[in-house]
Amino acid sequence: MNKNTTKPTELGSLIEILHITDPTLPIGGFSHSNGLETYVQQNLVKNASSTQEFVESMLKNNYKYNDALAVKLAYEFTVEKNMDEILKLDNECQALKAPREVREASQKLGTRLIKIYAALLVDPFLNQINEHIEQKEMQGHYSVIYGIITSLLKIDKEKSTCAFLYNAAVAMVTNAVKLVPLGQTDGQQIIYNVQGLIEDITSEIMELNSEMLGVCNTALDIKCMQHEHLYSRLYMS
Amino acid sequence: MEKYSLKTGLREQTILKDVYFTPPFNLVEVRENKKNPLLEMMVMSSSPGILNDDFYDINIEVIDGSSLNLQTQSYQRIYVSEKGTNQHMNISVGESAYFSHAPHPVVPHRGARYTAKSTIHIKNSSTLLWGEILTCGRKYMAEEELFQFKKHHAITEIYQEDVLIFKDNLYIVPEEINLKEFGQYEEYTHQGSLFFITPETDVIERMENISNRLSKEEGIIYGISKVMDNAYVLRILGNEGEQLYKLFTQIRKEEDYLINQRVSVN
Repeated sequence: MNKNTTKPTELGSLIEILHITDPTLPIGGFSHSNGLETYVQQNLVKNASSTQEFVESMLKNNYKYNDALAVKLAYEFTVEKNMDEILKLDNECQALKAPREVREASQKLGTRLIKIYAALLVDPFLNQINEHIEQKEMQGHYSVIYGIITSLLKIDKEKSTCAFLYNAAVAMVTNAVKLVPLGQTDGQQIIYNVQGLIEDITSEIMELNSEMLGVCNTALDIKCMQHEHLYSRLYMS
Repeated sequence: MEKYSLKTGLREQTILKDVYFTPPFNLVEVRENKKNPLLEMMVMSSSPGILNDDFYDINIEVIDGSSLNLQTQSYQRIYVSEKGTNQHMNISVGESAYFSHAPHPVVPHRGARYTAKSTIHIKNSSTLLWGEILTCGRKYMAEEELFQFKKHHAITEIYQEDVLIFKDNLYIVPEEINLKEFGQYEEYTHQGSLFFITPETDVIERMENISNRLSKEEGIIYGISKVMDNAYVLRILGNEGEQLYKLFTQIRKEEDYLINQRVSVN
């Protein structure tokens, strides 16, 4: 049975966040490392401390200005039901992601996410987004789709962004545990250690404007591009 | 406001149709082989760099069927100034037209604040090569000037038939960002980005050639990736402005050469 999104309760909203950021949500997040695999193969990320440094830098320098900021913007445009701005933002995400694999990963995750939620929610705005994607008028980048859906679910904007960052951190750590490899306890320690940082970055993102969207992380872009040519690969990006 | 603008014209070869500049600029034609179809222009400046709250306003129009390469004379120095310095560059490249620009590296001095916005409009049938190199400052001065500038914010947007196809947002505030961190500059001090697009051609061969060449270079890391079937982006980190400039110049000259060949065959 489809769920109506108009009457959120606090507990209901918590469950919605847990659901959309659940790492087992079948959108294929587990098959992307977003450059980490290159860092590990080049022996730059090699133990618990370098993994933590990597996760921290990604949150501070990459997610803050890229995907997590796109989440906030997509959320706000959805509140305004501003389809033009959503389409513009989605296209901007496309233009900003220079490494091919990262760009394709973001599209794949986004289109799978909307497929799941289009079946779960009855919402005309989401239907329109879905149509734009089917008509190839929109790529459907993950961050944009996530922002749209959490906005429609009436999840608090700050919590939505924070959960997105937390989900990104967990994904990076899960990949590092497999790739480096690290012990499970090391991995959990890192997730615990970056919790304060996630909180700080969330507040900072709330103050950022669209001018700051897409700040380039040059070395990360290079490693993501180099991933296309790695000799053996476990991940698609 | 300091300005220059130029517009190409077309006879048997590309000619300079309109040109306008205010001090400190001067634009001169530097086409060596006068029979070449590609118009080569050089921007010269009587100023040692961009200073005194300068605002550079640059407009370039490459009309349908014409081809232009725009060169610089030397490194662009950015001096400290109270309000900061700005540059706006607007470029339009017409149907079946060609534009290449891979200028000398930008060198922001201690305390410099700089913002730049480059907006490039192209058509489906246009070819564009666009490169940019940023250094850490005057590294080899007696008092080492490594990342002593305040702010460097350069946004480049490339539109094809009015659709944004590539955007670069280079925001470097050394006091805010530790550039040695993962994903930033890591162990390097210079960065360069080059975008190339050409109509109806798979760029994979070009990418492989560039990759083969760059893999033999020492002291750099690089990545090259397709942004469309007919477009790639190259990013490099290194420690020497001259090395990056030479690498970009070589790529630029190869494309300029192809244009001279292509147009003369027609």
